[in-house]
Amino acid sequence: MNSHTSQLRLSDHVIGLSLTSLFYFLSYSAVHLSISPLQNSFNLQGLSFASLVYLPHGVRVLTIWLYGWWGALYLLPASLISAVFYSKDFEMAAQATALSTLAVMAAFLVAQRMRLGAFYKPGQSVLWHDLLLVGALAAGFNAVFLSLLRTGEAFRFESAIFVGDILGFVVVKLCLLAFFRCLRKRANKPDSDAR
Amino acid sequence: MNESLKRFAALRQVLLGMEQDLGLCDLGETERRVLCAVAQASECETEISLGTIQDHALTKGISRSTFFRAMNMLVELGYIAKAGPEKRAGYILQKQD
Repeated sequence: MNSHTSQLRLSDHVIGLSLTSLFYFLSYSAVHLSISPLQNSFNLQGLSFASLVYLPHGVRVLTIWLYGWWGALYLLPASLISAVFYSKDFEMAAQATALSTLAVMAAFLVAQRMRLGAFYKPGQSVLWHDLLLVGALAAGFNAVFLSLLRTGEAFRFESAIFVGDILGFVVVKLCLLAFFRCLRKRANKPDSDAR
Repeated sequence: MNESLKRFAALRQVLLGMEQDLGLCDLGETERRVLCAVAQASECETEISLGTIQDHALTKGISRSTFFRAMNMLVELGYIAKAGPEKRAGYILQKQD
């Protein structure tokens, strides 16, 4: 474990695990209940295996950025529960989840080595585009790793996973941006000025 | 600050940077008033004390909590920064847009 993650207390683990589980399950549900049906309604031939806006990738990248190896553990329960709820082939979904989490970890380790980005460290600021770059690298690894579970149509499959993961990460970031913006606007309402 | 809060702050900082780079970061009326006060005060001195900003004509009438929220916001967005680590350290202007 990294030195900064070893400072985590039990309450931090509970908060990290709860938030990760909640957001992962919500994002997975959003993909399966709205994004995939919408995508299928456009009749995109041969792309039924991959969502083109895969939100859980964004949750995975942010969790692992903030919590390192602990983040990989936090992702485990929610991803297994999501697989139970939504996947027809649980074994395949569980394997895919493990590989996807490994892909994000690998991307952060490679990015750290290349000084492109790093895991969260107190007092060290990270630029959003560096994080996006790590997310894209993770999407690349994920596409390659997941293609090991499939036979045939490799390029088409990898491309769909790659694009879906990147778009998913961008959408997650934009949703969070909009959420924090709303919070700020509410907090800055001039009602307190009148006092 | 506990570890969860630090991580929450780091996430917010990344998103604020994104908001700024995308040109979505508009300052509210209060932040603009506080920033103008800091900008005007910094014409006379580089490090401006909190008292100077609070007593400035532009920040008159702003409640204490709103004032501090605006100050925190300007620090988070990188418009102003604490001049030093001490609690009583003043502020310096970072950007002049």
